[in-house]
Amino acid sequence: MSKLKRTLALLATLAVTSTAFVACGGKKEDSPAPTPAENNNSVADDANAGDAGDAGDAGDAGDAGDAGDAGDAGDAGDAGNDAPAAGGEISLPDTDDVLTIVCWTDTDLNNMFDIYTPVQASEVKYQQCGGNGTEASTQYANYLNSGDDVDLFVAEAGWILNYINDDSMSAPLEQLGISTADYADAYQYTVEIGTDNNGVLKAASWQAAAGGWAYNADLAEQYLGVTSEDDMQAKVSSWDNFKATAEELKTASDGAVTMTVSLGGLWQAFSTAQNAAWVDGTTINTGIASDFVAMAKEYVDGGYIDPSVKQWGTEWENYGKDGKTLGYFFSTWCLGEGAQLDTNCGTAGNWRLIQGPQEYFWGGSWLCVSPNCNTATEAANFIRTFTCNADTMEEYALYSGDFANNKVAMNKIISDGSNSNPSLGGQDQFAVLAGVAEGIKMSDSISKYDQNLKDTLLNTLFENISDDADTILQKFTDQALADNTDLNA
Amino acid sequence: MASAAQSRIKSISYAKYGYMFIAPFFLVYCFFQIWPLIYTFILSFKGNQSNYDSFVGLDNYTTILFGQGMAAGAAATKAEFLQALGNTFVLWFGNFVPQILLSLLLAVWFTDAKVKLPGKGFFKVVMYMPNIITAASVAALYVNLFGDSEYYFVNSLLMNAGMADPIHFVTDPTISKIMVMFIQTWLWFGNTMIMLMSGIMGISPSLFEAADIDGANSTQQFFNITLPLLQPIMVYTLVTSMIGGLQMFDLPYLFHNGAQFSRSLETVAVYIYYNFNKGTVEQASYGYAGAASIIIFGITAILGSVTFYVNRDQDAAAKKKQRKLAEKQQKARAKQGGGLTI
Repeated sequence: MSKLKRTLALLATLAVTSTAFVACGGKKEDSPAPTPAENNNSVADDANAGDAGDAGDAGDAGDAGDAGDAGDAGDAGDAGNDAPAAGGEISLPDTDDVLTIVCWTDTDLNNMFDIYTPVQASEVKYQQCGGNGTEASTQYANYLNSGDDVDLFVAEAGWILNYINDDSMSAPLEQLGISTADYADAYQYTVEIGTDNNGVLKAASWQAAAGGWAYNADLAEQYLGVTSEDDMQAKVSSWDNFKATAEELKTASDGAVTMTVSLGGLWQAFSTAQNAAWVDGTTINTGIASDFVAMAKEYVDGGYIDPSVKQWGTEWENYGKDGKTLGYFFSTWCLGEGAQLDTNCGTAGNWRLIQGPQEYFWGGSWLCVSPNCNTATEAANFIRTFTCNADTMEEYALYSGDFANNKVAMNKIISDGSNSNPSLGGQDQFAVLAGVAEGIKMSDSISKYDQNLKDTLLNTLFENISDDADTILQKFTDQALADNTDLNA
Repeated sequence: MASAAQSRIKSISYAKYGYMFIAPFFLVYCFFQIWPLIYTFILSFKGNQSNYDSFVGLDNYTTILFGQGMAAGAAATKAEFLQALGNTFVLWFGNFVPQILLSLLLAVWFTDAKVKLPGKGFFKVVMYMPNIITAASVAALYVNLFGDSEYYFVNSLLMNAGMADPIHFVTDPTISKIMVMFIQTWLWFGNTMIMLMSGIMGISPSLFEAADIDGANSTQQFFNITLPLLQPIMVYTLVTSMIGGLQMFDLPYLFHNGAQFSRSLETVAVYIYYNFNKGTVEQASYGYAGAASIIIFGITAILGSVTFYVNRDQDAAAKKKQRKLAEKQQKARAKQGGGLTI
């Protein structure tokens, strides 16, 4: 009897010990993002169970209401199945039927899965990691190392180099049978950035992140007497003109309306003009910072920008709605339905997009493959559909308002005149951005330090804007060096 | 002579079951407490970022304490760390002092039989309430109430009342510090109050009665009876609050506008977290984070010892000394007496 008691007690302690270690394992229970593909699950399953080659039919059945969609879903399926013949072999395994995509925002992915029906995978899971790009840049590392399921992850230009140059984080696209040759129609800079230091293609982008300047046409007419986009463009065609117009606006509105909403936006347009890398070898290029600090001081002291407005903050959103700013610098991913243009400006005033003082690009997201990808066929299908296939990319661009990374698709949309953005009064934003996208040269000026240096500069400006330019610059340099032990100034 | 059975029984030891049953605790303790502690020490002697795997000796310490190290930004790193250390002390002091004064006042009132405060139970609960809300929620609450512009409650109220410009509660370096001190005080004074009340209630009521009869007024009673006898609880509160204060993280980290914490609220704990959590191993500064952890550990240990030393029971210590002296003298005498104990 006492032996039984002892054994029981021992078992109990063992159970307690083992539960204490449970936390060391994976955290699969993490609540998955709602899966847009769920509606199609049963259909996709049927396709799997029946004949994978017949995936097109499955798509038809699933989206019978929308003939266009159904056809494309079918194409996607075919593309995937033909892939090994067309491209290389898929060498990653196909052992899981849940496609897990790590991201920090699911807006783009939701749009994609609205028009794409998974063929092999029964479920698509978004794993949210961080609330914005900056947080994601640091939190991805933990997640990707945790051993939890991950097939694809979305990375941003400012920090993608940290991940694609690390073989434990990312796998070559070649392992999904996708090669550089598949990106003949893509905007070249996206391919260059997606290629790691050894010349291996590691990431593919679905968008060309060209940016423009969206302005409130009502305010422009009221204070500047400008009635057409061309006239407005003429008034802001260079930085000098931009500043002169800002002064004019300030006088006309008695300081009630600022020229543009935030220093964060101004930075994006400004930094492109530098056409120089943040880091030269191991030396921080403080010239960029000092030029921008000077510009920022000028705009803030002149009253053209309210320095207390932080990029993406509540004030940033409301200044557009409340008519307290003339315009925003918006990248392509701000212009779709439900994106920033829509939420900040869509319901108030009459907004239009122009190129603004400077052709620039802003961010852009790339799809990277995890070395632990175990839903390879579906992942390959998905990447092909949104980064190589002109038909589906055209559909995606029209559906989401995002500037797709495919010249053929975009030129077709512009020449067909098939796109009109309700938030821009029916204007076709692609026509404005197409020239910008062609000209983007980004690859030789990005470094893995970009996100940190940019955040540090903008935060330093935000917190110390009342100091003089030299002090701000010194604080920035100090912080940048303290944060990055590899660098010197 | 013991029988065979008896000697066999004698050899049976139940100790091994004891060890087995306490083993889980030690296993878990080693795994989750001892090893991380040791590993922090190890990390503090290793490099940062791309140099993360090599042994650098005391470089991290000299860098963050004296600004002398391998990295070009050594001086800036030192400045940042010392700034963080300064913020930590300012924030701790600024919330501890008002907190202990307020708690003491309330504790005395609530326990004083002569002050007939109505609704004591209700107030105790209400004052303790903030302490049960997580700091994260509280930070979110305050950021949304005290946001920097007219889009947030307090500023919109003030501006409707005629104020011209919004007060930057969240981003102004000084005001945001005061806000954090205020929130910390608001969060913790209920807890401290309950603690002090239990201390006061532990004091024998006969002392107060005797003082009353002798004609002591309530100020004299407070300073001559309550406060001296409350000392052990006060020391406990001071030490726990100091340890908590030096590790203050959640509010300073969360009280900000935008994606990143405010540098003006950066405490040592925030510094450690930030450096530790900058992304991939090649981006994170494990060495600095480790060294900062060890330094804060040292500071806590020193301050804790000092507090205990200053507040030790001096009468008891003196008595112990006397007793030891007496024993010594007795021994000496015994020796003189030819080793015979009298």
